[in-house]
Amino acid sequence: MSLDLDQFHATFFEESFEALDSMEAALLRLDVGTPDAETINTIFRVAHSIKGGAGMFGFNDIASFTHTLETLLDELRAGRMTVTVQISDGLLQSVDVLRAMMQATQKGQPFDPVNANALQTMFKDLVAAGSAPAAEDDLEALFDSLSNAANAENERKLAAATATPRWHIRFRALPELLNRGNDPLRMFEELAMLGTLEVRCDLSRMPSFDEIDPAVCYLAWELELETGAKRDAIDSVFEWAEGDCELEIRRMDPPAPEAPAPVPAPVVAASPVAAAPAPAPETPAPAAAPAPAAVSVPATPAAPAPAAPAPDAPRAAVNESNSIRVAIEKIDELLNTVGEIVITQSMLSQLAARFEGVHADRLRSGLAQLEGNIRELQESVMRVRMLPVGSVFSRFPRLVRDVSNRLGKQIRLQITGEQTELDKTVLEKIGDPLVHLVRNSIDHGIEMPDARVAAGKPAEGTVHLNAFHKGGAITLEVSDDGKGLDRTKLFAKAVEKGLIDPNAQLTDDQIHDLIFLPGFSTAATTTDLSGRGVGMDVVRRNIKELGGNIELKTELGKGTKFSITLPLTLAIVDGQSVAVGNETYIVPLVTIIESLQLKPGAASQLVGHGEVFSFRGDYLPVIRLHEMFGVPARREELHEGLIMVVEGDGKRAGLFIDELLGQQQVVIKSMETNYARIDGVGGATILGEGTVALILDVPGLIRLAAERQVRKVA
Amino acid sequence: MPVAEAMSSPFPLDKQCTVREAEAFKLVLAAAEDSSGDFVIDGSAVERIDTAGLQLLLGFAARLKLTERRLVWQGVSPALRQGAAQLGLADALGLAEAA
Repeated sequence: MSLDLDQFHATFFEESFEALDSMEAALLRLDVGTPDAETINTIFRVAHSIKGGAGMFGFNDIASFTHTLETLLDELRAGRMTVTVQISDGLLQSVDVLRAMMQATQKGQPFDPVNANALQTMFKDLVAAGSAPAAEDDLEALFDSLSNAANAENERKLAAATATPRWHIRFRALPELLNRGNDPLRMFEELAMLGTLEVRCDLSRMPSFDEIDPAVCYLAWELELETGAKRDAIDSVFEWAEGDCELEIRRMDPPAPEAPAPVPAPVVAASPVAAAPAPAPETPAPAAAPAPAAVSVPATPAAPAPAAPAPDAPRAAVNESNSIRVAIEKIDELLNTVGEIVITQSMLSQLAARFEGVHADRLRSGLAQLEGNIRELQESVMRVRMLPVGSVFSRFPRLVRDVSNRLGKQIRLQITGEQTELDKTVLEKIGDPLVHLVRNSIDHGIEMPDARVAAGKPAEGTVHLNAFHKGGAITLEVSDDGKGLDRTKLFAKAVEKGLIDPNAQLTDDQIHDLIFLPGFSTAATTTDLSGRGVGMDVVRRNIKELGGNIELKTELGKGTKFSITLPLTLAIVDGQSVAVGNETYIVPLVTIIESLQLKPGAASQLVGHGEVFSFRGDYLPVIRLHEMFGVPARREELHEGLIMVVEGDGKRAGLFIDELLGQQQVVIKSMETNYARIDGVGGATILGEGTVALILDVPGLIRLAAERQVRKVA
Repeated sequence: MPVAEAMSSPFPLDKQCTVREAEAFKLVLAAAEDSSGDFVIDGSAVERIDTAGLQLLLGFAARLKLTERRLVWQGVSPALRQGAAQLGLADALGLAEAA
């Protein structure tokens, strides 16, 4: 019987994808020729960690690829090779390859090894070519390499002449350490790469052989590390073991005089050392020799020893565990339960309203307080689901770099508002539409450098990504200082494609809106980036599906700005409850324009359009909700009830309802999950009295009403 | 997975001795121990070993020691030697003096 490691794969993949994001960000900071040593170390550590994890889980292709990558990075780290453009590009491609490999492995799908093999061959050739950057016939790079090698040698001499900081590390595995894919051996290998490591193993908690659980680590270690590396580098070795070990790291020698006094505080330890449960079995270790074994493991030859020790004291508390990783399903369950509590509380409040007597007021007062507390609880749970939009924005530096290079354009990416938070589900779905908009800005918006200069602009164009909260929603903006949309060309293209009548009188906004039509493209030549006319309509549809909206503002010669407005969450909605017959429906507030009462005779029948009424110069169709949902009507005459003017997908209509009930925030229950998809219905919720109310999908409802009207006419 | 062979020949460790194989490794080691005298083990084929694998060998060595027997290494691969050294277990496993 072997230990089932499959259950830890998800964590490995999740952490590896995050690590790859860090690696990519570090690579984008990497300066060709004069790279920052810490940046290379960061990249190296990611590759090394992924290699270790992949090896442990038996993902041999990933382990092999990262091994080759690690070898190259080791050469760079040691200063035996310099970072050239070829290497920088290759390393970035390796991030893509690794992502693809992990995605395929995660899904259990075959992986096309062509790119991986090509990169591996290139990396091996580069390393085999030795410490010289022979791959680039570039004398400057060669001199840089020699200079770096000399600097590295000088640094090594200097490091030897000065006292290198020593660190004392106490590490004890907690029972789940091995089970979670962490291996002390791998961690110590990483430590050894930072400098000279002495290891003493404490065997005192080893049980007898029969009592050993092979998946539990009973060992503890005292380590002494001599390194010029920063404290962060040491901490990061144990990063993935956080919560599964007791760890204490302290500096052994006094710091430099100007540095603040060191704080010998434990870091990363998820539980206080003294209070931590002992993983040892009940019986003492009778067999294993308790005498600690000591060994000095030399540093990896490639590991450079920077001369200046970094002050570390202020960092003492930085890496303390202050976050946990929780499955989104658990949070959703919590949210769902809170939703149920809201319903129960509402039922109790309604019941309490019927009570009279001395205690009734106190009961109602208590329930009012409970209502406030529950609302706070609901909001707190909602906040747990919120993530900074920066996690989506972080993919764009790479995208802009790659795409602008391919097109020969000079583009600066500006990112603001990346801390703005958005529901995780919305965040995951907004990535692709944003990618398309940014690609469009680069491809169609920003001009070639010579054209920009000729137009009196700087050769370098700017693409700006921005996010901010506004009125209970989030707005994401993608803007550029490119050439803007040409009204005349848009109109001509739409006529040519038969999308509009040549004599149509369109406002500027309506003309700009044409780019969202399926099949519309003004690009003279299509590229593989954009311009196939299959993008902007999909972008708008995806955003609409998220309950959002997209608008654009453009000025010829000045640039274009796309503004996406999204709800903060898909889990709850601010709704207006309305009565129709004996039923209650929830209309999302964002779709409501206003409610009004028509005078008798204000509505009329229009051939082919059914019942319409006049609203601010337009004629809007009337949708009688009781007819749409087949419920008995309380009021048949329009002037007896109310008309609620709503808008969805740019179309307006008047919903005929009996009366308005009240506004409330409701938890959305999926119809598809709990019953079946129903046209015109976006979901359901449970009301205070325990009945189910349907939440209207206004765009779908307007579409459905139009289709029924067409069928009626036919 | 390591495979027990006749006790006349050294007990060969497999290429992989990791947490993935640890459960089986323990059973095979326990089954292979039914002999008197020192336990000869061949670690020359080990390509990958982790803390779980080394910890089991350590426990097994301690068990032999209880009956005044030793773990005798006939072959030690670089991965095995380096792994034991890195964890500070080379002496406890008798690898320091092994060829």
